Amino acid sequence: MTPLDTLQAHSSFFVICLGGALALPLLSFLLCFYVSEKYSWATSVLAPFLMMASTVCAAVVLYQAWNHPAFTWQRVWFSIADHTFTAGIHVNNASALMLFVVTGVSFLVHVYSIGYMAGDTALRRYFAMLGFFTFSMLGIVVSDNLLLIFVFWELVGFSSYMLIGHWNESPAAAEASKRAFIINRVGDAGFLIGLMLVWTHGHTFNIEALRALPLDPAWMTAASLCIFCGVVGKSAQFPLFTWLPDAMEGPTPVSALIHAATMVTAGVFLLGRAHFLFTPAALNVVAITGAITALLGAFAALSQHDIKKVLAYSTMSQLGLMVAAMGAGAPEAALLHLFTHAFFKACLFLSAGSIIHALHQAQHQSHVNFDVQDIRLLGGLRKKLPFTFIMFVVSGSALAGLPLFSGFLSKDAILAALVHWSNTGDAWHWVVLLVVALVSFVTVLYTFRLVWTIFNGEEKSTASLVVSEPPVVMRAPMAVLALASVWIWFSWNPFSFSGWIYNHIGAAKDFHGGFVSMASAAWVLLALAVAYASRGRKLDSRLLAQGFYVDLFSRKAIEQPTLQLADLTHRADKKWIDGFLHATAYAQVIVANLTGWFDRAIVDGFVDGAAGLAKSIGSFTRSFQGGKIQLYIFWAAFAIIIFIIWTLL
Amino acid sequence: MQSFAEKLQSTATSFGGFVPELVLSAGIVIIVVAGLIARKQPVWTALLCALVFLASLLFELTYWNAYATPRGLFSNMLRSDSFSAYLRIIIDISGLLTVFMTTRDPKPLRFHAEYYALLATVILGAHLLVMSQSLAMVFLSLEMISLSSYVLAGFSFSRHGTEGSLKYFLFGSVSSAAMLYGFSFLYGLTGTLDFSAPEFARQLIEHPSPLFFVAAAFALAGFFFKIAAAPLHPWVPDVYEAAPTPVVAFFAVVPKLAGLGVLARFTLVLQAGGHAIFDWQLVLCAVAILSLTVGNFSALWQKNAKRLMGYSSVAQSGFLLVGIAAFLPQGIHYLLFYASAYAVGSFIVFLYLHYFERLGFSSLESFAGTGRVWLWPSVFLLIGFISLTGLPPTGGFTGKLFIFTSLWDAYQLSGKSIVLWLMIFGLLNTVVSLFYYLRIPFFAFVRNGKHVATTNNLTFENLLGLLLVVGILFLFFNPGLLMGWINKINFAL
Repeated sequence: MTPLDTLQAHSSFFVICLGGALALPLLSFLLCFYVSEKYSWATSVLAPFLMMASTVCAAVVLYQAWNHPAFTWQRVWFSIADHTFTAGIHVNNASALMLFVVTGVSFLVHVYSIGYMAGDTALRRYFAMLGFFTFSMLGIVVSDNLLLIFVFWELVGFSSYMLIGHWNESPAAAEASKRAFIINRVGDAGFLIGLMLVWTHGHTFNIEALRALPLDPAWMTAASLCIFCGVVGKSAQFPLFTWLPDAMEGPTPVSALIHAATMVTAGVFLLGRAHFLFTPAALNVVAITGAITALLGAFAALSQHDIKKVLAYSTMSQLGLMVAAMGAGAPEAALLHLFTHAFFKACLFLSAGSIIHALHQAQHQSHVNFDVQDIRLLGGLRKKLPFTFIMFVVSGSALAGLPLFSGFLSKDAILAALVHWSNTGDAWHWVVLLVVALVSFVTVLYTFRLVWTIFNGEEKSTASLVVSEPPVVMRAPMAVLALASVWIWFSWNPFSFSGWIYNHIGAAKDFHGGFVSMASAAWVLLALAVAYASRGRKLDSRLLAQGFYVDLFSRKAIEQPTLQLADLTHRADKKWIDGFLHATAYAQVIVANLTGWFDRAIVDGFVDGAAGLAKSIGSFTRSFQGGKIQLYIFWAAFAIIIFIIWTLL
Repeated sequence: MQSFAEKLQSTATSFGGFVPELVLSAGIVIIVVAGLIARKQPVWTALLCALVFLASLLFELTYWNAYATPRGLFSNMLRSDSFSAYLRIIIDISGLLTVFMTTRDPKPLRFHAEYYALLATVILGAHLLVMSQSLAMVFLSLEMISLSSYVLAGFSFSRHGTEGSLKYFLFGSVSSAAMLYGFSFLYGLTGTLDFSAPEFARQLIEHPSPLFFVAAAFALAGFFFKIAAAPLHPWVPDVYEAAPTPVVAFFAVVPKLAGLGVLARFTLVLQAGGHAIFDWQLVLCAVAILSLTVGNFSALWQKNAKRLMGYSSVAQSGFLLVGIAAFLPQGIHYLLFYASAYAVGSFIVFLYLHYFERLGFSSLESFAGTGRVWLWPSVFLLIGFISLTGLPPTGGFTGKLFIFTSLWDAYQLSGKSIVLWLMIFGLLNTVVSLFYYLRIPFFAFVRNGKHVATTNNLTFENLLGLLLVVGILFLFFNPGLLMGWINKINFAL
């Protein structure tokens, strides 16, 4: 398809909207930075407005691009020798939908932030980085080129670092942002190696061009596993997931954005985008990694006390499910879950933020101090925060995968895909299926526990507080997201996942999921019953609370030795290298002094001596010049006589 | 024995090769007479003197081709050849420059007619000296130069000048006496006064006696006195310091070159083509080394510019002697080249020393800061000093290079260690000379002075100096032109 055809197939309005969707977040970033301190309040109007415009543009793009040939636009980026690097945009169904979801969630988070972040001192930086974060993510979504994706991938890493560490005056936030950044770098190193491998074998980074190339499977296994390293880092898979719970130190809207739309989903999206690169062997690794992550995340969520940490581990677990689905060769299912998850997880986070915000406000008024995020101190908030309660229940139901909610559909799709996969492949595939089933069971347990602990029972620490619902700017986004968590948007039939999205975001396979849906619904309801029955029990496991000690392990086994090594090299540097330098410096000074002395005493002395000799010779030859002519004549005659005698003898 | 008529005939024909000297002789008389008439107009006598020198110079140039074939004049008393003609040209030019320098003196010159007449007499004596090939003629012309010089040296009419003049006279008398004493022995030993005659040389070779060496050494003493070579140099600093600067400039060139001319002839005869019993090369080398050492090292101590130039003159005699000491034909050619460069460089330096002396600068310290105010005079003075030191890009460098090249050739031929020593001393002394020659430019350009004066760059000195500087630079950049001219000179007796 030539560019001209592309232009004909896509109107200029479409191109403008696409450009707008991409450029407006960047514009928001720039404007927010250049607004003066005095007008920093303007950013909280400007940034959401621009984001809204971007969302509208993205909606237009989605509408026009849906079920149309992919829009491609390509330019030569740079050339080295005879290799030309292109940069371009590729918009197909999946990326158009992702574009809309990212801008939409981002817009809602922006609006929510107006209320949540009101009065923050660094509002401009906050909104600027929010815009930049969104822009970077959009870059990943629409790029047609792995190298370009990598560039935006790194920008996402950078902006997440800025946002997690937004309250950089808190040591924990600074530490968390640093950890997130560094752990992501570990994965990105693998990504980079993967890119090199791809280039070496394909001589192009263009995804569509790579799709058409015959590639060596052995090398592609290596390359795709390396790229998967990047995904593991970005999407918080085992074993590089520890940054995700830590990242809860950031502002809650940022957490919502990270978990729903802009950061962790990037890895899953990349898996979908570059799915063809993955060989069966590599996919097995992906599936197993995903399953392990899902299991770890689910169980860790079960015994967390921090409201946001529960959600963080749940995200990790859900991401594991998506990755497992990818590994099982069902990118459509994974992407469907990605989209549904984006909405209900964003809603969950915003609701959690709403609780935190409301309790903080209340604490301010009554001067009571306790950790508002610790669910053990909460309870019975159903009456004080009815709206939030409803939001939490709706989005929590979606997370748990209850029927009639979006989560049920997408989880169904994943389970159906896994069932199909288990039927066709090796025996151990069943293990993965069982793990995923177990995860969905546990998901219900921890979600129920979370909702029950916060909203039911008797009020504990909050009893004396006067708590009021957050303002409309915060409630409205929650409402929109909760609304988006019901099944209707994804498929007409609440028990069939093969709706308009699932069938068109990829080469969809119909797994005839009727049986799976029924079994899944029964399974979830059973889990709900178990959860209700065991609602009073407390699962106090240090292993689970600490996230299976992976963090501790990485600290002890990797960080500490690394730091010790660093300390060792530092000391070696100080002692030996610096010592050597000092010694050479001293030696130099000594040599300089010696040469200086030599210069003064010997060279200068020699010169002075020569000059002195010359002068003394001069004064000797001159001494005959006494001024008396008799003496002159005497000396002359004397000299001549001496001369004659000397010559003759 | 020639008949009287033949002698008369040869004398008459001799006048044909004697025209410049006749012009000079007539000029002396005219100047004296003119001085009687135009007693108050020194300009007229100066002009007259300049005209006389110019005429002499023009005649020299006119007869240049005729000089190419050497011939004896006046019964071989004199010898007319291109070697002496070349020296005479330099002498005439030097005389002209001296006249120009004298006219620049703002003080009215006392006894101006006598002054110019004496100047012309020295020039005439120098002419005769370089042409002499008879011991009697040598003595006569030498005394002609000397007696006039004694008077000229005292022409500042100060107590200092008189003292210098008297010292010069006494010292000169002694050396003349010694020389005459030597000459008388030589006459007695050889039976002829004509040292170019074959029997003179034959007697030298056939009758080696220490007495002969003593006699010749005494004779050389007179020449060394005239060229201001050690050990007959003690008069130089006193005279240079006390005499008027134009006269000093004159002394530094004219008697020296004249003495060198006759010394070259005389020592060549003494050496007798290497057949001589006594090693005259050794003597000349020793004298050259002594002159270089005494002149350069004493100059280091000097604080007065003219006194410094006096010692420099002694040292330069050493360098000039190198050309003779080589005892090679090209050595004489290079000597002439070096002499030319020396004359030009010396006149540049004296021209500006005179200029600055009139402004009141005579000690070295007083030159501090003059380079800022009198830029061009200081620059030209610097170039003159550089030429005397023998550094590029001046003719002094080329001359020194030539002269030491010939000395090296001589060493290759003879293998005498004294020649090598002279070489080493000469090069070492070149370095030493750098220190005192550049002292005045050092004061002029590096030290700060407190001179506030508006300067006019369009002075006679600057025009003349520019001409000389261009000349000295030309000698460096195109020495071939002058060397081509010099190479045509046949220096054979």
